Amino acid sequence: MNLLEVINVSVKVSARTLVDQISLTLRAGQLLSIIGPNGAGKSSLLKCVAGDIEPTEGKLQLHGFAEGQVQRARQLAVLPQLSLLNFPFRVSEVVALGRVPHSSGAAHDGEIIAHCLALMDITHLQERRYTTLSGGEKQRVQLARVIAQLWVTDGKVDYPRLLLLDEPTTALDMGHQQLLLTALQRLTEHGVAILMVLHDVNLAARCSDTILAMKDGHCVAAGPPSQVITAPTMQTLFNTATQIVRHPSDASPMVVSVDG
Amino acid sequence: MWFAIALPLSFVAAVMWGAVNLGADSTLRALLALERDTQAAMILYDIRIPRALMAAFVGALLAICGAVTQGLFRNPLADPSLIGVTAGATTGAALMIFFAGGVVSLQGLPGLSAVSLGAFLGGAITVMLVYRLATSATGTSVTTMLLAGVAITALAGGLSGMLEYFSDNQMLRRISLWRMGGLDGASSLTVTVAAVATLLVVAILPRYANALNALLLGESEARHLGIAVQTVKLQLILIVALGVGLSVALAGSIAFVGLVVPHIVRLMVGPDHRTLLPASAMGGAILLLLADLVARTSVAPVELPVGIVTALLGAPFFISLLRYRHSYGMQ
Repeated sequence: MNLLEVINVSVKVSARTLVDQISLTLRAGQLLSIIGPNGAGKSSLLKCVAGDIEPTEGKLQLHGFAEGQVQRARQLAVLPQLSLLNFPFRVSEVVALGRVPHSSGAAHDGEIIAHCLALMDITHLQERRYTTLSGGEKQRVQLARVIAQLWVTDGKVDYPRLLLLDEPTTALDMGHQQLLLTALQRLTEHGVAILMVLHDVNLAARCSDTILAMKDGHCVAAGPPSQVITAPTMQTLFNTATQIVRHPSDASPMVVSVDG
Repeated sequence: MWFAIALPLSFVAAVMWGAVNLGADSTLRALLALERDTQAAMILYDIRIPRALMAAFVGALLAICGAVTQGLFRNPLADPSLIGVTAGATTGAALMIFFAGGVVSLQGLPGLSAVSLGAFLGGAITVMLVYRLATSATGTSVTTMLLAGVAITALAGGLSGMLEYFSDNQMLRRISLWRMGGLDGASSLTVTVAAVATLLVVAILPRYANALNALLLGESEARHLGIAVQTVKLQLILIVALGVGLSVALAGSIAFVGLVVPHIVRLMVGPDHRTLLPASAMGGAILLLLADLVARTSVAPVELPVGIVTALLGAPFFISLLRYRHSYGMQ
């Protein structure tokens, strides 16, 4: 069953069209990545789904999500692009904020927080002040926070869950990008649907069930990675010549730039 | 934990020393009601205790409101007196004295309620205005916030000047008497009002601790954590306006307590509002008790208004915070 349906959604701010007639669907356990050049409207689309901005046209439906704000926060977690926290919380306290919508008791929360700290490889930082961390470390802390918001210990729940991530890998090194992908895979195995904006096309090709390629607000291509990651699409999106090769281990498409 | 010991100690110190030093022995005996009719007991019960209670309540109110303002603005430099809330409240109160002075007598409970209402309204309008000006989706600008405070303080000064210009002699006397306010006017009525307000605010605000923690992440982040951001913001703004407004109505404007105390407390217990709020209330009570002690004893028998002492302590503190603001990630 689809838990998210976006039907012909457009977002217009004054005369500018940020998102133009985009449609997509997402089922439980699916991972959809949005790729595209800067200013393509990827983040606006994500904010639309998050409920931060209203679509000017079209319909956006979440199926099986509670109306109540607290209840909904247990089902829908959002990682924004940049984070402004400049108060010296401890790392573990920031991750614990993900448990605010739950009233599951300190012991249970503690277990989940410890788990999410380990998942993002920040257990050794848990006593550090957030403000003293590097960019990549901060990003991992925020990721652990949103994962803690949706996490359930036995992995099974009877309600749909959706995780929205806006460029979660930008500040991460290669090892931690891989760590994140593994964590996301575990979430999808437990039925969490994930919608994320990614800059790294090759990363998107490896982890996504579906990719949506956007430029100037409209959809250039959508479908499984093998259909979207093609040289003509890359030419349209990024205006640069590329060649597609196969990943040696899983044969997913990989983009390599070539001289024009 | 510290504060729980320091608070009663500063209270005893505040009632023991003054223009007349009572000494530990007779202070304790009078406090424990072993002696009633001595001179020490009279000084204690008629003058020192009401004043010390007032200092403790107003200090607690100002510090906890400061901590909430900083959480609300997501900015450790937001202090009610710096962003114009105190000035707004003062002007509201002066306007109320000017226009309502002919209708209700400014003595006793009706007068206090009228002045408090004016201060509350003035404060509430100011916080909302500054909030609208200084915060955006990308955070709070320190510059805009402080400049808005400067503008509002100037506007408030202009309005007060105009009121004084057009006041007759009697009205002028009323306004200036009230403005000198300070803690020396503590009576059983004002102490009771301060006690009720402070206990109410201190009891209600910790309910917002989780919401304030989430708000520090940003408004939309807080919304995604299930916080009803608009409602919470409005309620917090009204509570801060009430707290600051009442403290202005009861004791005049006392600056910097709401900046210095939460900052020190944050260094000691961290920024989590669940501990920050109650600890700030206690810290504020301690600071103002001690500041008032200094105000009463430093140039005895003359007494300084306590606001002068807090300003002398607070201004350098604030300047040093401004100097190192980059280490809080502020610009």
